[in-house]
Amino acid sequence: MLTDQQLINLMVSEPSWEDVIIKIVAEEQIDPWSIDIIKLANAFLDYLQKVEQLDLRIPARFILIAAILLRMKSDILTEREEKIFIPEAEKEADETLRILASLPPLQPPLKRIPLRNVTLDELLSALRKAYEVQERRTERKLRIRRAVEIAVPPAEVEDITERINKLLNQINSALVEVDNIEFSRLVKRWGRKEIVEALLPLLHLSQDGKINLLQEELFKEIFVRKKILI
Amino acid sequence: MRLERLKSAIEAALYMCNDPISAEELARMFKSDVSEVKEVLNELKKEFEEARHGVHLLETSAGFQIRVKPEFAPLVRNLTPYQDLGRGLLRVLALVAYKQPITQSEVVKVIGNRAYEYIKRLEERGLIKTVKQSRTKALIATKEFANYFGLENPEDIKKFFDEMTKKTNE
Repeated sequence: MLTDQQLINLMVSEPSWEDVIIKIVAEEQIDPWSIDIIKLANAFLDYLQKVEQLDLRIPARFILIAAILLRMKSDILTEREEKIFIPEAEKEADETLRILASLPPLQPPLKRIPLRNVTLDELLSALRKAYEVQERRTERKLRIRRAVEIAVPPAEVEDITERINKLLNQINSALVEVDNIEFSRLVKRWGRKEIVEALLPLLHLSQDGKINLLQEELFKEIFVRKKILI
Repeated sequence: MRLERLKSAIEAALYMCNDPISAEELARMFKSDVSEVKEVLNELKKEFEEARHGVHLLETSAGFQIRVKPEFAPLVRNLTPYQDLGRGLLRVLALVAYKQPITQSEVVKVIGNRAYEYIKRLEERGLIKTVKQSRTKALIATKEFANYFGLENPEDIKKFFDEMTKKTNE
């Protein structure tokens, strides 16, 4: 019988969830009924906390395998419930049931889902629809562009290059005496628009290799430093 | 498997399969020689071509498929709502057929980025193909496209579309 830790190692190391199930059920001959899914889930949570880098396929695989094991358990449960108790008075029916149980199960006839050819009229409708959709998409883009122009009037739009250079000068002046400066101090006013106006050129500067950015925690302060040239 | 029995088995497989199936796949399924399977398929094709049958055996680049003969398609189409070409595929096919030759980028402009996937699937089905057009590549409808719709040539589709559009506008 594999321990919870061994099961988790299996889930991490095997290439697919199918291989894990085959290993558990067929190779190790473990009865799914004997796997405590709650204990296994807790063990997996412990593993997640310890791991430094996480491949998101692993937790997804765990959830799928746990669901399959749960399903296997419920199948066992319903099989047990289906064992009918036949009272003494119905012993005649008992014989009939035994005969019925020995018969091979009925197979439903093979049914084909019929697919039909597309007609020329449908092809023509599809062509019309393709152009209609294209027109609607173009109109939607125009609507969005107009909405953006209303929200950000053209007169207020300045060249991004100018903003990048302005910000770089601001950063260089600030970093004369200190090693780093907080992003929040570079923003004139802590409002949505002002944050975006300052963050975009900052990212460009980092992309161009002119500054270093450091953020220790998500959504917390960003520290700006001069690029260290080696 | 005896040849007669193989023929019946192949007929059953073709009936069950909604997608084209190759001779090689059938040979694997029934543990037979590919040459034997091809012989059987040719026999079935000839038999179905007789006027007394409402279906025929189509050979496409993707494999073999039993289909309703085009002349009977309008009579029986209401018996199933399921088309064998999805909405996206149909739109790309219609565009290529009408505008052929048309470049992939022109199709993408009308349909969107999913057009790449649809073009690939239509090429796999043999309904469209890529041809060289001066320095670029263009998409055109194939003879299989014409067979599918019961047309003489793939280019006949433009005439049909124009006539139908004229009728609608009148």
